[in-house]
Amino acid sequence: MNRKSTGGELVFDIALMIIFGIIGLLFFIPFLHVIACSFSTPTEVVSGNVGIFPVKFSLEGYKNVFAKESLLTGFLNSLFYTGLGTVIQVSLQMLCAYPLSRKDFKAKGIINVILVLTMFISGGMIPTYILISQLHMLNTIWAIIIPGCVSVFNIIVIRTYITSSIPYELQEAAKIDGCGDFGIFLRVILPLSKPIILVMILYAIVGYWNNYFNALMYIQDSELFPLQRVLQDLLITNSGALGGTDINANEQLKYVIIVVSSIPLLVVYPFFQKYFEKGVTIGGVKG
Amino acid sequence: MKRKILAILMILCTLMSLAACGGGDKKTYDPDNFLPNGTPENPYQIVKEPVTIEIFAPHSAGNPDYDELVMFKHLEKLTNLRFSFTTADTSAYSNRRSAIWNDPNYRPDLFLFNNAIAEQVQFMEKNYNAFVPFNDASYTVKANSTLVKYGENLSVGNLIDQYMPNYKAGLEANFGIDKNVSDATETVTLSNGKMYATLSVNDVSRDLTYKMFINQQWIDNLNDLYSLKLPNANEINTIEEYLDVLRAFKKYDANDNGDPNDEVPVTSKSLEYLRNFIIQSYGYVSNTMEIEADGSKYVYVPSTEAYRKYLQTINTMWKEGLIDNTTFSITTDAQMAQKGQKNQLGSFVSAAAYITVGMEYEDQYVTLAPVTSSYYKGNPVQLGFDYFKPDGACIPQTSIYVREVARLLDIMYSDIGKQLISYGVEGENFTWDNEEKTSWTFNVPESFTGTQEDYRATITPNVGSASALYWSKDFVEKMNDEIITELNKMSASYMQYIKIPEPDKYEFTSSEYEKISKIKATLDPQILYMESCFVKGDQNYDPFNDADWAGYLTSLERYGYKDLVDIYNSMLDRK
Amino acid sequence: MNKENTLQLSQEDFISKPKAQSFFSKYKITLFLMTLPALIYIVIFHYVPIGGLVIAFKDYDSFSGIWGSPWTSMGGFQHFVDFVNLPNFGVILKNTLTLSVLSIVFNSLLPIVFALFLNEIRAHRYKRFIQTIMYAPYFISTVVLVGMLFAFFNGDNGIFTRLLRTFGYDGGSVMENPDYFAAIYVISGVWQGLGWWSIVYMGTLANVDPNLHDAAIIDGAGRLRRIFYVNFPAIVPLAVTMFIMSIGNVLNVGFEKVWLMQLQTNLSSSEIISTYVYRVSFPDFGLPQFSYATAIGLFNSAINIVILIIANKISKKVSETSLW
Repeated sequence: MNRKSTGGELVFDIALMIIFGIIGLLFFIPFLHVIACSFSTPTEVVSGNVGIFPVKFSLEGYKNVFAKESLLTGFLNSLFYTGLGTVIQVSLQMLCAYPLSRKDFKAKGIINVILVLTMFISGGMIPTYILISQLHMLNTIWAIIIPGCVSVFNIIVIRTYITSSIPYELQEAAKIDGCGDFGIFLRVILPLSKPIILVMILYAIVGYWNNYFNALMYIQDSELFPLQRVLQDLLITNSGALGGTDINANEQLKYVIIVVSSIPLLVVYPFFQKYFEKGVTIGGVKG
Repeated sequence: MKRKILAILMILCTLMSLAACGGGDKKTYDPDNFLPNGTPENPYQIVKEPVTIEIFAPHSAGNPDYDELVMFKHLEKLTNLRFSFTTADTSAYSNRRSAIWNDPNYRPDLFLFNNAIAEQVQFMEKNYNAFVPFNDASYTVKANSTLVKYGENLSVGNLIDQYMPNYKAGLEANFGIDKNVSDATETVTLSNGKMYATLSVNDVSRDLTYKMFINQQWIDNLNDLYSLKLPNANEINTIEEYLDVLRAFKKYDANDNGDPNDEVPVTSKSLEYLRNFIIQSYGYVSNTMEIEADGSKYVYVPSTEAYRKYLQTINTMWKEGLIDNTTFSITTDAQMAQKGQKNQLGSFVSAAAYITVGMEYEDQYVTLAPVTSSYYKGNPVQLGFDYFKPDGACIPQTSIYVREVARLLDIMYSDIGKQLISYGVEGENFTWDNEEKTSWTFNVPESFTGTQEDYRATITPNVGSASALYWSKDFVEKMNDEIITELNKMSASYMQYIKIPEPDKYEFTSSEYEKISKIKATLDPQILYMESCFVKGDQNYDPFNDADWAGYLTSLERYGYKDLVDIYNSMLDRK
Repeated sequence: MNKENTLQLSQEDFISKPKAQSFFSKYKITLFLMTLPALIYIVIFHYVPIGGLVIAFKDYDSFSGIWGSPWTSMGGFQHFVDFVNLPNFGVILKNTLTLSVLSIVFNSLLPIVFALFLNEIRAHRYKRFIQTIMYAPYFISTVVLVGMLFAFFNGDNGIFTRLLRTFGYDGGSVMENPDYFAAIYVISGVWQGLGWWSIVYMGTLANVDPNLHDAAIIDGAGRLRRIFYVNFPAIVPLAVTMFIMSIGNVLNVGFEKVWLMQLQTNLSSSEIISTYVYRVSFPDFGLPQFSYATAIGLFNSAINIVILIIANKISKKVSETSLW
């Protein structure tokens, strides 16, 4: 770029930076407050003395947080659901997207229509519920994993990525080298799709980790509850007593729980930033 | 390469279709394995060789798994049965229950607790043959209707007569309750004369009503320190007097800690039971359908003038700051306890005072008897729950272990059953204090870190879900505990005022239940919403304003409360 | 194409089973098999429930099953008529539309403005840093978000309640107040989505042809003018597409968040179609009403589709951008 900075431009730049700095700070304050509360003593939190810095620094909350069995169960369940779900979701989507990117795949058109139609019409809450119950999936891990495990939107994004970023000549070359269609997928497409795969992995992790609806609808056994369903009891309806005799500790523990349950994703996403920015852009342009 | 793909695909497909449907292999049934009368050494034994009974039950989150509970372990030992549990979280019970019938491969042998009468009636009327009738001498288990492999039809006969002596004796004696107050047999018998469920019986006074507490110490403080002439708790006879006491709590430093502003005169989980306490002073006990005291007809309480009086009173209380302004956010005892343990509460509703205020301030509080008002000068009335509920246990007709389960259920109505469901095993969890067995002591191990209720949760499913087939005063009220004894005494003295708004002996038809469900699904949340508006006096809801009240009545009508009244009263006319 | 096949064949000849290979590659069986798992999923979990919609016209009970249950009166439309005649039908529809329209407006417009100006920041690292921070709320789950709202607006000690008190507010939790429900819903939504939804515009802006800017500079255009006359037009087609998509979902307000935020005291603003569907499906009292719930859901989708078609038509005429 060959734009020159004049005096006015400089003021504009600085003003912009300040304004965005303020916006960024405003957006981050809720996190600061939660973190501050999680490191303060219960009495200070309940008395409303904590702002964005801890008051009377304390690690008690973190020591006690996993004493609550249901939270630990939920955490471990969610780890498992997220791991398994991510593998299934990403494989199904990749497998489905690649053939749709092939110009010589004649069934492509009809499959496309079948997929895209579902973005506009659906059976809704109860017919799906009845289906899940008739498949004997209620109260099984599959009721968490399967419903929603294929996103048509994601398939389109992957397909777009493959058609736009991987030269078709590479596939032809592989064919000449004796690769079958699946061989091409394994040896050419997958290695070259690393960015989009990473994006899909991130989406899947976020989706499964934060999933609440499937558990609300299809899981009634508290042993199988994923984290978010446990959090509903702990943070919102207050029905899952946190235990312990110090009443104030329960209030403060909520902040610790918020930190602990959100930290996995908040730590992970900055490493994916470059990739998901690209993924979202593809989705936006083509979706 | 291609074969590899196929293999992967096959795995994926089977993974999806597998989806945990394990059904298929049928167990076999040996009718001679059943012991109708136990063995000479152990009259409670039910089977020679262990068989597994599948039990479906509600379970409240945070409590231990049912197969870890002392009660069920002990029952396994006694009966030689084995239990396998499918539990639904109490918050999702209706969700799970409604899905059971979609799944032909899953049928428990026993639905324990929470068997809605509406469901029983629906299945009876539509001839679905879902549940085993307990009093039908001609009932046979059809060889093919069950999930267990069995060659011929099995005639089981009248279960209550043949296998349930304790339950039968209970029904005949009406479980010691005056038949005019509540009739066990009538409650559990459907219109075709059959009983598809056993009863949930509860005759423990302290669990048959709610308890309103007030701080007597504060009243004393105020009378001493400020020379007020406030009535003592047991002298508060009208709602006006109660309000005056609350006003004094608000105005002065009732807890004598130097801060006249930290007192919260009254708090409540939402308005739960606080509303009932106030409505009672105007002659009704509930905020929904309620039968008139003479049993002649039902009225919809929110449409009555008494309800308007209630709204005016509570609106006044809100405006004067007598009610905690976080009331609507409070949903648990623990949240109330935050203020309670700081000695900031003047009055509240709770199962026991120590739960809300802790042991330190427990002795300041006494329960408050129902009061009357200048509007209603009749006998005081107190909201009560029915002694009998027709929702205890059901056996689906797909079970072959009908006789086994019947005997198992009978144990739950015996002395051992009463003990197990409440405080566990004699000699281990509790011990009798004397030969005459007039009182017993609950033994919480020294090493146990939680509260007494936490410990009880390791024994029985009663904690959290409050379910029991027989919650018997005969045993429960004999607990050797000062606080509990005092609570029992106070609660017992309120039994004379008890009014049950919807007696459980009346049942509707299936289509009536459907209509009621449909109306209530919309009406009930709306009533609560409009109540909260009236309390706060916002959104054009001022209970003192005639136009607002008229508008409210019109909208009630549009929500169909009159249909509800018609359905209830036409049911009453049939009886 | 043909040539390739022959070529491939001759190659495969040396490996094994030329016949099976040719069958597979000629009809692209492998490719089809690869799409199969996802297709099976879609058919079972999307198309079968569409068939299940038939219970909207029946009185479903699980003993009789979907096909065995009797049809309702009014030619099967009983449940629809009941819903439309519901006294709070208007309120439910209004709430649904309010939340949805406000969300669409704010979540569509603000990210555009945000991206247009963020794009002007030249300190690259600083820009990245701001972006990273702004993405964070997106990764918070709905349950945690609502949990935070309840904690922040706690009537006794919540930080926002304390803040409001300094401005003279005197009351309990704002969460209970139906007047503020929509505001809290939308603002928290913006907090979560602003950074995230601006990504797509940032991507497009990065691809704007620099020559256009240079030409504008020569014409004497300042920064603001360039934003309006160069960058803004570049993202309009995308914005329109996104807008139509969200309009097509106008009645699909996120169930979870509203459900979790709902209290008895804010019901007049918080009851929307999907929460009502859940309420009648699994009522606290009495029998589940699956058919009635399904009818309401179907009503909802039907309106969505109609709106989508209309929006697409209008957009086609006005901006020549359309979905199909």
